[in-house]
Amino acid sequence: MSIHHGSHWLEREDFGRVTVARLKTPKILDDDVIRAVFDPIYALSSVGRNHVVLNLATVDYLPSMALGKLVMLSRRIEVGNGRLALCRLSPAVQEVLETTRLNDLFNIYPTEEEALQSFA
Amino acid sequence: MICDRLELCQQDLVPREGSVQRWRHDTIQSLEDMERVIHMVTSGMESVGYSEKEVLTMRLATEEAIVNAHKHGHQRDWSRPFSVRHHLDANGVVIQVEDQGPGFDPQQVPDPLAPENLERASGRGLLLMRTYMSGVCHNERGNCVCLCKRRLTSPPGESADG
Repeated sequence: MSIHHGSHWLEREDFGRVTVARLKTPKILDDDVIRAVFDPIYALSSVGRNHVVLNLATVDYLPSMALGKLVMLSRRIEVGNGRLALCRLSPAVQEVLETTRLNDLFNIYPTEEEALQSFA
Repeated sequence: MICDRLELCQQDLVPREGSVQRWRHDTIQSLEDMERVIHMVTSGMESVGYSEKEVLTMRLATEEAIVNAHKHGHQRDWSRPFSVRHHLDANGVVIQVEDQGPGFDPQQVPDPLAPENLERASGRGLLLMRTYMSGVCHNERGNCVCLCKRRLTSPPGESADG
């Protein structure tokens, strides 16, 4: 059974111990949007939800500010003995992660289902 | 390509009328201004037949440059305007972003690809600009960046063999 929550920028669904966070904005650009998107995800680890799938299907590209937030998120989750998986990356987002050599830092999957299964 | 002289990479991309180069000038003082200018550039590129990837990478680099000016040059103070001027045609696109801040030395930015820096939360904007542009130049003070993108794809109706 999954539990569903939503906001303007982010949709959250829990599958057992794993939380799927689906971004609903194609652009993560200004500070307000970045905070609105990432603060709730950061807060997950505060309540023990340390297994997170971040679905980036709607994201056209990731500016450097958002890359930094992803790195911080990954670090925060790992500190809590959790794991972060990314899925549904566009070719542009994939390329940015490869260009910045962050593709080795993250667990990346083509689909949300495969990302969820990686936690099994 | 990284060059140290602001004029070098845009000399042949920005035509002159006599001694005057043809630029379009804008002032940015809000997120809406930024979106407007970026839309003007990207829609202009689309109308001349640039590829989707060329348009997206130009958008990405321009956003990085403008966000850097706002964040580092003006400490996120939108009340301080900064200048953007651009020129685009079938041969390429040139954009200059100038803030009123103290500037910086781009040579002093830590290499974000160095293993010890991979997990830093910042410092990748310049790398992304340099990756996607034909050239990125700064003036001596470091408060003005010039992004040059030479066209890679042939305009519609022309073959790659010319």
